[in-house]
Amino acid sequence: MTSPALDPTRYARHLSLPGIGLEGQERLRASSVLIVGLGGLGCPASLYLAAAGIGRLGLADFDTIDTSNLQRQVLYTERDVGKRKIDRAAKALHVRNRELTLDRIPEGLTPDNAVDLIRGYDLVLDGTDNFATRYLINDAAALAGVPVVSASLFQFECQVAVFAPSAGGPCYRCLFPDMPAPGEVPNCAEAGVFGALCGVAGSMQAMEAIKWITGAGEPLLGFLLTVDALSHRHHRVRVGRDPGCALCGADPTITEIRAERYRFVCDPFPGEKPEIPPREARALADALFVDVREPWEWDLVRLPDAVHLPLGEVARRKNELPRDRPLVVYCHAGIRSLRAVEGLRAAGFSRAVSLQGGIDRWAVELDQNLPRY
Amino acid sequence: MPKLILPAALRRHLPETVSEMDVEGPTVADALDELMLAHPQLRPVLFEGSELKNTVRVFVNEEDIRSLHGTGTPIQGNDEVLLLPPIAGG
Repeated sequence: MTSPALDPTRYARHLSLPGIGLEGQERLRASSVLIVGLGGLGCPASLYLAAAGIGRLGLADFDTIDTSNLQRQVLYTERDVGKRKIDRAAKALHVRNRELTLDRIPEGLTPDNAVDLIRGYDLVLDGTDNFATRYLINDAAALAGVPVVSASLFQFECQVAVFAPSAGGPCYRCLFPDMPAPGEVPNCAEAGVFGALCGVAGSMQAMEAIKWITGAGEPLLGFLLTVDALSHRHHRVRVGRDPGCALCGADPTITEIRAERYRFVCDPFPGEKPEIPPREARALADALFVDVREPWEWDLVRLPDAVHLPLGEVARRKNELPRDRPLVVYCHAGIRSLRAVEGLRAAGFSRAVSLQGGIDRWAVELDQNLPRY
Repeated sequence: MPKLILPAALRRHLPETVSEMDVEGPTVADALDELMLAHPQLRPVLFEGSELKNTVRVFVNEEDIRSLHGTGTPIQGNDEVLLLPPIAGG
């Protein structure tokens, strides 16, 4: 079956572009892109790819829409809160381009499905929000021989790059061989993310995907671009292929996807945890509550009589804490505080415990007057 | 004078206004020493013992120092030394 001719009016501004033209537009229609993560990056990237006339988009995300997403995830409206991202995204993209084929992958990318799923696409866009999935995408895409257009954000900064060992370029592990330890780099929820910068970085991903598919210009292969939105300082640095890379080097040790390599997202502290539920914590006599969240969170809401010691300062300022009292360490959800307790116990604070579920669970169970965020 | 560029992921350990720092050199190692002297709280973030952590890359202008002379890479004039940690938000 031959597909109907391209609508020349619809794509007129591409057809007249040197480097794209009719041939490039036909290539876009014949191509498929898997978008992993339909958040701050996946929203703008998928919008531009749909508008550009890409043939097929895979949408992989297990998440539902939260009110805090609306600040940057421009595919969703206030009425979408609580609904699955893939469904709302598919609907929003379909009304923009009815010729677009959309695949929904509600379980998201997992170690079990990664290689087979990625193999079914020409390109992968990494728009995830955690290291475990970033390394999973990198490893599975390299094994499947599919290029990755990667973007990541931290506050007012982004990094964008194309990783494609199959095209002679580097992979993410050539740049950063090992995943940082849990808690070493704060996540978006803790650190914040500049919404409009998601638009820049996600659009750049769409742009690199379109360039890659049509062959227009120079892809960002072998380079990484950093953008600091506050100063408008842009850096393009060279990322070489590492001959010693565990994934794409001469003597690779990563030759298949093994789930344990990508685990930290689910449970950064396997085994029994030094933590205490809110009700028991409140009943603890003589306990000192230690808040390890960032200053903006402390300003928003805090527990009465708590002391403030942001996680990044715990190691340096721990001796300000009493050693003769139980310490109930808390954060927003109970992950950062576990990390702090781990460090404090190693430093001899044997009575330090983490507040299970953080201040958020405290607000739900014990004090409905506390604002939640 | 060469300049050290500090990314946001490191700036959270620094006073709010610090995003770059003039350094003397003459090597990347000397520049990092100058940074540690000015902001010792960055040591556990960037170093493991005396070695730079494998989760931080250093570039002089466009080039990864791993493809130059490591921390022995000379710097001068208007060279920019960029510290690049991985970030994961999206």
